[in-house]
Amino acid sequence: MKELLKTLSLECAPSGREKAVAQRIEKEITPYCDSVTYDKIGNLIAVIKPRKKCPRVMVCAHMDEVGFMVKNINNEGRINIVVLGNAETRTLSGRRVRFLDGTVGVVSTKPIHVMTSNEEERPTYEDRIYIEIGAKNRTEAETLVKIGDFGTFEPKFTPLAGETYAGKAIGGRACVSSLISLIKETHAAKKAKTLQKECYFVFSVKREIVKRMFAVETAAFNIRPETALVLDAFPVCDYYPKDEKEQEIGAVCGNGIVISPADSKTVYNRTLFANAVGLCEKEGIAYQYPRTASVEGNESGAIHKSTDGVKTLSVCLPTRNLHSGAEIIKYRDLEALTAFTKAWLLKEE
Amino acid sequence: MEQKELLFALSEKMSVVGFEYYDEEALTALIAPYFDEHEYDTIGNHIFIRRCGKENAPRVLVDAHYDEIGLMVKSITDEGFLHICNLGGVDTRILPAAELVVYGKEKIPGIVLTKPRELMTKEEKKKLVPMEELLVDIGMTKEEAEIAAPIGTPVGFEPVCTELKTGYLAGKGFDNKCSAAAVFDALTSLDMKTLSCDLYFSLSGREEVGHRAISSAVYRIRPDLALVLDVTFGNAPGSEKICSSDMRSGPVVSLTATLDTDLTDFILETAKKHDIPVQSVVEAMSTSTHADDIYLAAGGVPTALISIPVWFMHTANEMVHPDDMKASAALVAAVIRDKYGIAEEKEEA
Amino acid sequence: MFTQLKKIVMPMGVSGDEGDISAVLAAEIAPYVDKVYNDALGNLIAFKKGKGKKPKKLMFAAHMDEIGFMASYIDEKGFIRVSRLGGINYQAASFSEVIFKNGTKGVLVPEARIPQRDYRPENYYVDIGAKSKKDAMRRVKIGDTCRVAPSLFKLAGSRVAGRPIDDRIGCMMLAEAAKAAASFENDTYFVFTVQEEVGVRGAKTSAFSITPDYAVAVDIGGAGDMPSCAPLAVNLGEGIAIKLKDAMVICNPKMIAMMKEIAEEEKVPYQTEILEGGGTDTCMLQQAAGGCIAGALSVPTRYGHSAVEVIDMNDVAGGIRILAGLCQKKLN
Repeated sequence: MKELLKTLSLECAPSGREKAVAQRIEKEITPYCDSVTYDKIGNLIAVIKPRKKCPRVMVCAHMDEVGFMVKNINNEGRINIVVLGNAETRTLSGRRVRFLDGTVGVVSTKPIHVMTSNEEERPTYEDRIYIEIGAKNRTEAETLVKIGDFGTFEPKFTPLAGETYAGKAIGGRACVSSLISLIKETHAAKKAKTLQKECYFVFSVKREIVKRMFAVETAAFNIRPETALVLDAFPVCDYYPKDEKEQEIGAVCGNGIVISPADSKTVYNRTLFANAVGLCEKEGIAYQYPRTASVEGNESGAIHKSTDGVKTLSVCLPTRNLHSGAEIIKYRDLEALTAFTKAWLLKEE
Repeated sequence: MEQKELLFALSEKMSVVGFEYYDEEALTALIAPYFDEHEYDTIGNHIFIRRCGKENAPRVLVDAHYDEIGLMVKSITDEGFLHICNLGGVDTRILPAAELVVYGKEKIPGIVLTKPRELMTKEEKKKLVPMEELLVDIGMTKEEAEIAAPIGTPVGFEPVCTELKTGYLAGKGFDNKCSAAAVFDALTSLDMKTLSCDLYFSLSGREEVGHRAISSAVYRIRPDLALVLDVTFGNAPGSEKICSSDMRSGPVVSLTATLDTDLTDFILETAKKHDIPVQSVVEAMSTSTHADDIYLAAGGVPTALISIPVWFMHTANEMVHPDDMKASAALVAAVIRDKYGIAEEKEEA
Repeated sequence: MFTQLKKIVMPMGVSGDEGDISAVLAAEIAPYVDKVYNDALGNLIAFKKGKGKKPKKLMFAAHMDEIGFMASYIDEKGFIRVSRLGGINYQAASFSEVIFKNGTKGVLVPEARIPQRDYRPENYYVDIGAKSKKDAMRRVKIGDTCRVAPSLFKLAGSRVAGRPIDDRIGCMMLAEAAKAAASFENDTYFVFTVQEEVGVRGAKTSAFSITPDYAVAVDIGGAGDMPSCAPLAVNLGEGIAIKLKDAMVICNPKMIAMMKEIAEEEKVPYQTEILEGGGTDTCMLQQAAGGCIAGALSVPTRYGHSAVEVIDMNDVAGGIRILAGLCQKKLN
């Protein structure tokens, strides 16, 4: 799975341009599924069903990542951007970025030699950021980059000590790789005739740019599952002094999957929540609760309210530096996530 | 060796200020074969010498400082994260989520932690976290980190060099390794039989912490003439306040009262004579480079300063154009040839 | 009616955890309808078949959830941090008794050193008197819900105070209308919705599955007759309020007209309400699935989201008659 994680993390898929990752996933899962299709807005949906009629379950993880779009190219050939999603603009300064066609640029920083002390203390405002690709002027720039082009942080994958992995989009892609391995397990269960659920696996698009609606809602609308499980990265800040900012420490990297009773968009189904905790205890899977229920909600917010309602649970992967060019996860958390999804979906109840 | 190839090879070498000896063997292997002699001192200067073979030949020093900005492990937290401090002027804005290398006994990759936006308060969003509060994640426990990366271990930016589609090169440490590559190119292109001087190529150290080493090198060499190559600011939004120069328009000769004006004039004439593109910039009372120090060291040395324009100085992605490097090399070679060339011997050869 | 309301006010039902109140309401309304069931999110739906061929679908909605808290972290000394579910007025909830679903009692207090003007939700914790983390965890689990203690008591005349009158008063009005209606001319759905207080979530899914032709939400509204309050042309005791608009919905004029007409026929006093802040289930009823003709009745209420919400039972009685009148009216 580490190889798969690396491959997926290195693919570029800013919200709205998820094709590269989608194709990679499609290739990986097609041999194991009854069907693999795209819905009208690009969610990738894989189905594995037993022969007899069974309860319908949807498990989803999003494919897209934060990125940016070209907003303007000025006369000097410099590129103004608009950020897609919660991309951390403070991690953009001085960093390499890549446009989808492979063109590389560097995000501007004013030389520190001329910064005022006021400027030194705050991140560069998004509207002052530009990308330098080295073009002489607008005309030369336009041979390489067009207005509306998409880009992401420069792909990078760095193994740290202690089975810790850093890279762009690694939190989201780890969930994707976990879902892929769940598909393989589900396929095996079907072959062994132990599959008790109609399984819909959704790799969703445009999760990062949510303002009001999540794109995954269309998948939920079409599938109309009875139960849904949402995998996502969970923002973690476990590195500040504990006494001062205790309330902000949502979860701890390395302490297992995050199971929330509620977040800003969803109060999770009480039974699913209690059973998930029970399952972790029974199977010896490391889990933790976030320390506050006011964390920004994920795609569950759309799924549980779709159609006539869906019983929804979310399990998340603690991720440091979320939405930066170097997100960090612990491999043992990913293993816990994979073990959980397998037990949750495929164990006899 | 191509200039680009050499620049990338030099950039890969660890030479954080104060730790210029770290990759000494590799540096020797890279440079020494092209020179007659080399000598290293105890404070970070690497001197490579080409002899003309004549007795009491004048000594020409061409200096390009080899050290680069970096960081150092200041303390280790109970969780195994590293606190860091700067060596030289590091821009705090490029640090969140930066990819670093901790140069312990082994090279250890590390990522600077940043608080996820989701967990920031409004006030925090407006502020940069000051350097003393930043933490580096290397995936180790405190005990492991104390052995692998004890306090005082140097830390650098991860070396990744890229050629952009417009021909620009981007990477860390280009301040001042692009000058080093240009000087190497110039000095190795000269035919020593046609010269009446000895050439001293100093890859000097400790520039970024206040020019602490170069005078000692001058004291030992006692040059008769010195050329200093360093980087200068390329024109970009925000750089109007300082003396900046156009990119891709040739080397920049400093017009200043602190250095030798005759030598400076000679350089400008030489450029004109050989049709080498050149720009000039006024730095009336100080150039803030090694040139100021050499000029007044060991009884005085006629000195001039030639600079290569770069963008995003003191970040991990400094950008330079190879045309500027090539022109700089051509200029240095032409100046030495015109000043110390021996026409008769050249004809005999 | 006071006894009846007390029965409905007391059961617990913090957003997302409405099981207790749902059971009470199901028992209350079951004798008067054909079918009672809960959907995936927990909405309680009571269905009464209408007369005649192809009757229209009429949906009433009142939310049975109440604002409250969820235990999210227990510290080493056994103090419990709680996250809010719904629009908590922390000033009103400070230093008060809270009760967890399993009966564990505690007090909600702000951190001592925070100046009052700087109170933020994260500065609050619940002290259940536990001696240690272990002791606390025996009594309360992460994810358990709690709320400020319920109460209901009579004030002068026909007025009552307590909590959570929002929106158990609406629930009671639905149940009473089902009892009072002389006939059901339409396929009528009495829906006790969930998770209104955290973002009008239950109304969306129940309206999607029912796809009503007409829908009426019943909830508390505001009042403008207290000292030094924001101007609002609604006074306690001057009749039930027919909603014209709130921050999230503009009611259908046909529904407004119909409710006014019934009120006039039944000689029920009424007022009209324009709420600038806040929203109710109405907005979701109006736009769920293919959309429907939607409106709302508001019970004029003072001090909403506090432990002393005040209403006038005469307004409530009038509201029930309008709801019953809608049941008896053949819609087309």
